[in-house]
Amino acid sequence: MTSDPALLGFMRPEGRPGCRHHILVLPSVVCSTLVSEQIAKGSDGISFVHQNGCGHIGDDVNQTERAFIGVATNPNIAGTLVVSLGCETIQGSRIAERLEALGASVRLVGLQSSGGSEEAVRDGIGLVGDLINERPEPDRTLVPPKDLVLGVDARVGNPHAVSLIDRAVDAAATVVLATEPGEASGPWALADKIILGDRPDSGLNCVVDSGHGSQHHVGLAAAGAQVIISYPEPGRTPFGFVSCPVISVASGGRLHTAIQGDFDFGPDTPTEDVWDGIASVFSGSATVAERLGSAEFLVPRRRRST
Amino acid sequence: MTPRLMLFERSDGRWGTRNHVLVLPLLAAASRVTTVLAEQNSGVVSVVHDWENIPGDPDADRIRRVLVGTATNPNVGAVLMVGLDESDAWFADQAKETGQRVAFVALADSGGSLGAIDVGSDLLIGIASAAAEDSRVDAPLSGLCLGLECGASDAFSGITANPALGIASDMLTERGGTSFLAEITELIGAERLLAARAISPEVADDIMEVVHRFEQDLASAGVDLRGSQPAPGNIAGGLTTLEEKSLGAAMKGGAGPIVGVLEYGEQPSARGLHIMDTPGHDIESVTGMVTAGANIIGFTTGRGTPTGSPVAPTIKISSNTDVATRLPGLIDFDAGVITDGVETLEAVGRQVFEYLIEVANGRRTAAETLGSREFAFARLDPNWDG
Repeated sequence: MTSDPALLGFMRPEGRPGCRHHILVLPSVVCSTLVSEQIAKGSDGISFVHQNGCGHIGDDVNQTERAFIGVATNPNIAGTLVVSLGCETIQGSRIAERLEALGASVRLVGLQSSGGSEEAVRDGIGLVGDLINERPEPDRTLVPPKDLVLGVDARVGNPHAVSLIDRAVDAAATVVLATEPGEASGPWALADKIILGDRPDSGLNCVVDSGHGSQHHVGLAAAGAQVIISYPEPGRTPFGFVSCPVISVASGGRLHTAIQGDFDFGPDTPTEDVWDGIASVFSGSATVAERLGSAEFLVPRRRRST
Repeated sequence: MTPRLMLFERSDGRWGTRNHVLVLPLLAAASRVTTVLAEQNSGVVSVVHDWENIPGDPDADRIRRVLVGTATNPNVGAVLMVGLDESDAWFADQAKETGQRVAFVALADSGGSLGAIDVGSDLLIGIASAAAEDSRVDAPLSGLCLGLECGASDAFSGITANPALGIASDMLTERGGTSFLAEITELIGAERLLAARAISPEVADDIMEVVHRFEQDLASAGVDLRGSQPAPGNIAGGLTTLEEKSLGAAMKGGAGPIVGVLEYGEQPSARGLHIMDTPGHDIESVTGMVTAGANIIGFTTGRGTPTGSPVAPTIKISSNTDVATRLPGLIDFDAGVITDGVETLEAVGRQVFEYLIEVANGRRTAAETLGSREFAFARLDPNWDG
């Protein structure tokens, strides 16, 4: 039996350990993404650009809210500043209230209520400072493998992913899968099905309807995955994610060979080395995407905007 | 008297109100490269978007149209496109056909993101120095293409800012310019009034069709549009129904003849007022109009919003003086003076027109000062199978 490498993480008051200690600056709508970026740059926060939050109908309203709330309650997030415009469909104030009800450290700033963009940036930088003071970064402590929630983004049946999933399940980690729509088999068929924003049970889980491509990462982060491992298909590219390290494993295809600098692992890396790499990244090593500052956050969408 | 207009003349016959150097990611995976390039090179603009070019994406052609249209908007003096591999050179070829200055780098030709940043930096210096040769020259008013937009509307929008912008739009189209009235969701209920202004029965039919098509598409999906329209801020601002919002929103289109109906991002073949099929989502709507060649945006607001366009100067016109006072950094022009009894609607409309000319000539807008460069595609089918 192989031994498991040590995982060093941050204990959270609610019990789930994180592998990063981020203050998330969360724009509730595309219109507040620039201000959010400026707040994050002027403080120690992280933020991201997205195109959502208004003009949604039907399931998209609920789903986008679940995505925001799920990602903001991921254990890698120590606190969240919600940045609202004020008139949007996905109301920033509602997101903040719901996060607070879930026990998160949260603040809210609105452009329309604070006097404009510059004022919101100034106020927001102060509020991130409050969150940092409220939740200072603790020392890393030993995390048992059963507290690892590993997100796996791979095509159904990818043999490298299957081998890694088996390894993680052997170690008693919780595994969350997300994949393209289509027929499931192997671990993808065996997994308990959860929807975007649900917390997984221990063991094997799969987020259904998690969209396409890097949208899968939102479903994995919203399920509480601390680390995501991604096996992009041969013609596709690796992506980072705003608040979870994403470890990308190349296929042997021509494109991946040509952009190998954007991958963490080559195509023939033994499973045990990838498993060790996950522990190392969990414990603080930066992924290629983290070094590039790659901070995507693509919410799966159901319908056109109105 | 016609004020003097000074624009950048483009080889395809269109005119620019700005001379941007644009760094454009051709897919989401290139956004990191373009963001870094824009941070490292002052004076260039970049966008971030979420299109991954996944095989089977039913909106792919629509999105390609937006990327090419944005790259060749007359406000863009030169563009650096960052793609995945050689197949993305198609975009560069399309843009070159319009006479645009284009440079192209592929992630796959440079070992990945870091290599593409290096190669892109060198290419950027070349095209930026070429674009710097361009200068403003006397231009006709027909060189202006005005995108009409409203966002965060309130109950004043339909009686102050929107009709004032409508007067400015009429003044422009009467003088040979072009305007786009978009946001079909915000024209529902006003379509008969618009169809009555069509230049031909065919255009009238097209107007009725484009509105009904949008309504039917949503109805067939089993969703109630009224869940998102009016939006929470609209309701707080005193708007009670979608139809009320629409009748106010349509005022942006003035009272003049409507010469045609355009698909999302489609370039017009004639001058004058057109209706374009976009959603009410401000960013998706402005992106569509800019794709079609809008070189200036008139954007009315009741509650205040900071958004702009990566390439088209966006003038924020407030519907009430209160918002202009509370959010001065977001508002360029206050049309609230109409209800304050300070100015007549006609006088304010003329002032909006004059303001458009000033901005076209180079006056900075609030959104430009803030650095607002939002960009989003209006997808039809974001949730395809397979």
